Amino acid sequence: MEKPNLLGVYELMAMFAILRLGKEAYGVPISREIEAQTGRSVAVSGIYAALERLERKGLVTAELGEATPQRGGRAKTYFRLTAKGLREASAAKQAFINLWQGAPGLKEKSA
Amino acid sequence: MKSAAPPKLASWLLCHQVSGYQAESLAGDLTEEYTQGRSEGWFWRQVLSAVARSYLRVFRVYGLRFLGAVAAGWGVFLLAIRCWGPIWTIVQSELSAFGANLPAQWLQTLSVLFSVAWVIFGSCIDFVVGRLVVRIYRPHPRLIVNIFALTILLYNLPSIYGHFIAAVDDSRGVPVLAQQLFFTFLWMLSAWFGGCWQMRVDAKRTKS
Repeated sequence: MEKPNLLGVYELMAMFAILRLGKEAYGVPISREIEAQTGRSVAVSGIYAALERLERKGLVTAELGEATPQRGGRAKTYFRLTAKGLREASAAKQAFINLWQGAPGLKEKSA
Repeated sequence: MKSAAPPKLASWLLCHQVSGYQAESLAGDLTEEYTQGRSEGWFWRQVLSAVARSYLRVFRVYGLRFLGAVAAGWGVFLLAIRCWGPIWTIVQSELSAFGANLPAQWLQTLSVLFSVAWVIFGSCIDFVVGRLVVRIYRPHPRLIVNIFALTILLYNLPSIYGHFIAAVDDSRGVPVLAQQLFFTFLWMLSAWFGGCWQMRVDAKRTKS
């Protein structure tokens, strides 16, 4: 059986941001959401690189939206998670929780 | 909200040097962010990061073809120079034999004319080579033509450096240095112009 590649941090953050934003998930809100939640500045081109990989893996779909004068007449691209993407995001979240809960150092500190 | 347009040079870089996945949307996102209050520094950082990623992506995906295009360009260029060299030597010796019967002023004029012909020939070759590299490497034509022009500069750097050292020691070397710089710049420009010409031809062909 073919093992799926592990997703990178940027890919996971992009997926979670798309989930949170719903129908409004395009480049600007995605990068703002990641910045707001992580407290770190992100390169928008880095987010697009992650989104390209996710689309290639079949985890997100891209759809061309409207163009506005504010954007220099350029169209937005909206992203949405596929069913497979949702499963992967959920599995990644569960894996992180399991790893976090099983950390012995953490138990000693909390005890 | 800002009403001013983003920095012109950065916008130009964004439009002309960033290609690949959703490049148009990325440019729109950065412009939108800028008009919503991001600083010029932020815009510049984002643009430079996008250009670097775009270049790296092209190298990663089409690296071998890229090297092939540069090698083919230089192959044609060096072959043309190699063929022209012996012809030039013959012309020079014929000129000096012929010049024995000519007034010195005529001889000087002829010499200048041949120098101009040499420069025009080099420029024409670079123009053709610029077109060739873009034809071979279509994924990112602007990148290949910029890099090829840079390789011309790199090829001429040792010579420029030599003339520079000579000019520092003796001011009579300054015109030679200026000539070398002019030739290098002209050849770079010719290759770049050839590449841009090919891009225009390709764009017209795609439209029709």
